Amino acid sequence: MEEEQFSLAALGSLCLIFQVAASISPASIMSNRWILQAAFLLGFLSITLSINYEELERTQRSSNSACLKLLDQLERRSCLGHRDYFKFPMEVKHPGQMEKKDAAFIIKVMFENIFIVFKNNSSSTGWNESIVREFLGKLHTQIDKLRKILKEVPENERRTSSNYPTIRHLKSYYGRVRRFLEVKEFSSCAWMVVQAEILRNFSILIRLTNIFQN
Amino acid sequence: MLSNRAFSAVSFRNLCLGEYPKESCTMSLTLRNFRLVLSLELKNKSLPSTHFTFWSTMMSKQEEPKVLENCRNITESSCDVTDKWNDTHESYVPIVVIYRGDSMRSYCEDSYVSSIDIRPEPPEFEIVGFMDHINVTVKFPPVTPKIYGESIWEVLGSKSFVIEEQTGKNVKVHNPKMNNIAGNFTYVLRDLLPKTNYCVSVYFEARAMEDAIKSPFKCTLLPPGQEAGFSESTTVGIITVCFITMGVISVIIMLKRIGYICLKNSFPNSLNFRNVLYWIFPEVPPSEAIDKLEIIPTNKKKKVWNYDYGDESDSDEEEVPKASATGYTTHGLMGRLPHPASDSSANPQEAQLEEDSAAEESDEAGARAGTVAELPTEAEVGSGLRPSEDPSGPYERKETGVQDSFPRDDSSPVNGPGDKVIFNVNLNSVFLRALHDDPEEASEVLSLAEDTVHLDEAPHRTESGLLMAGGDSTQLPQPGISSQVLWTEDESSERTDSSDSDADLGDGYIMR
Repeated sequence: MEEEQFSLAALGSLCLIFQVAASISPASIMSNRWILQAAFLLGFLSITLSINYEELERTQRSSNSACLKLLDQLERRSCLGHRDYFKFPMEVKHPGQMEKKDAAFIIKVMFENIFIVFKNNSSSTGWNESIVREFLGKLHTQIDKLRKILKEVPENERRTSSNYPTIRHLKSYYGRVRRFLEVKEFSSCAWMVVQAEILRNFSILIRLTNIFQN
Repeated sequence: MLSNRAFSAVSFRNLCLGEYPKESCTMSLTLRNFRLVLSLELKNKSLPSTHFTFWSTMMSKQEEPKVLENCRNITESSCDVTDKWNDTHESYVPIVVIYRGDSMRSYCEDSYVSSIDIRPEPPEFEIVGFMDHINVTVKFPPVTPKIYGESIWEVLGSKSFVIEEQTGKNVKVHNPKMNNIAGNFTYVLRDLLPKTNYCVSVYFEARAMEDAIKSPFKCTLLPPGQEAGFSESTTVGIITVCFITMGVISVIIMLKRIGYICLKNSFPNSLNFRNVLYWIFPEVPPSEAIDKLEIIPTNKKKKVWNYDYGDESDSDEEEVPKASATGYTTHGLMGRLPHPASDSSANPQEAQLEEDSAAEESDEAGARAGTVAELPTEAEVGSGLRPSEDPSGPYERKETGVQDSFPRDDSSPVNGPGDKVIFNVNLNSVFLRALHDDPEEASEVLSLAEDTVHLDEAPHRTESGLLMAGGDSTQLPQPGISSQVLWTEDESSERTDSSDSDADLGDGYIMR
């Protein structure tokens, strides 16, 4: 995706050069030529500055699949006596007509907080530590990609806790999950309950990723 | 009396509290004929089971398990939960009570299952082979099936359906986008080779590729194609290439017209560094063009000087144009009447001088008229403009040019012998029009109009001036005349600006 953006940026620069060269030509006095050149430049600039959602969908889908495969390798247990209701935000669970840009910011926040949760001590579970580390590695790689992509979004259009309530609700939800683990002292059943909740997260992430297809 | 719900809860607690042993089993969630089916597989198969009862609960809420009514005391080890589980993102915990006869009961509890654990079974399909393509018809229900209360394409993803095309060891995967597909769906596998065996399989993508349930392959041998001529795909390809080429050419033409590309830079040869030969062999300036001028006089009085002292009579006749009755020539500046015999006898010296002045004026006029005026219409300038040549040469040629320039006027002279016709020529009023298109020469011609020759009131002055120039009568003022003959634009401007050489007589007349 970075290479495509670089090539698009180079194409936009080339159009800029053409426009400057044409401006010193006596033939560029014609107004309709200026309008056409401006239209070309604006078109290329808009392509250069926008997010490539097709590529984002591809990488996100691949990351979702890889993370789920690793989570699936960790032992599951019901632990019905330790269940808790964490109140996942309904607006994320049922996104409806959510915009692609909003979905991208939400996915980034979810990946970041899942990473924070699983960084805690899970040795009581008996899980394979290498699988947990690999799971964290996959999460970190995708977080980096998402941060780079979303950095291109103008600052006044970025979604943060201060300007987007959904982000605030999400962060509260993950706070409840972390507090649950702390209260249960990172017991095995507590981790089993959290594992089930994170698997539920990935089901929602798959649905959010589908938004990029629209 | 306890309610059914309470009874179910109490019953489940009785089971879990040790009355019934727990068995090891495996639960799987599949999509079979577009229905969500929960299946049980017991590890201990030694003892046959008679019937089963399915219970379930959720991980997100602290709720007691509930019996699935449509799966109470059933003989099958699978339960259709399509209408029971309504939350796509929920993790459900299934519990199965196993009955072996009337006396033995056990239960099985696996871990939780969710939508991401679904293993969809492939639908039914048919294939029909043609020469270069295969039609794959997949059988879907007439109404879009739903699971968890939503369309299967929403739950599984619109690109979850896969058609696999295999020939030999080559495998090609097709991923058609399925948005609310209902009823039979036909997909065409194109660009296939005739007389080749192709096998097709269909399946839904699962979370892990190994979990995908693929349909058995269905194979067909494509019929042979046409031996000669272009196939349909080749024709379409050629047409497509033509359209693309036309599109590219039109874009290039448009860009060229709006100035994006191929801007023309017409540098002069001296700045054209690629033309090395030009630096070595610079261009020879073109030979001077010959201007053809038409002199349109408005007020002419001319005194003709004849500088040809050696040949008076004949040359005078030849050179001096004849004047009209009014004293003005109709064509040029020459107004001297040709009376060589009487003039010379009566006032030989004066006549001679006048003739000389007339000739001189004719010479000057010829020179000024860019630089030779040829009357009645045209003059050959080239004969008078050879600055690089011997000064005497141009004078001679000037005479020749003058001789050629001034045609003989057939009008009879007005004055009698001894008469002299004096012309005042205000060259400011003399409009010289160059018939040649060269602007430089035109400006050169026009500059001549700045000079005037005053020959009227004080002819003697003119004569004296000319005499001064020709004071040495035997000495022809060749340099001066030649300079006048060789008068270029620059020289004319210099003469105009110079106050030493010209005496301003007022009214635009300048004595030289």
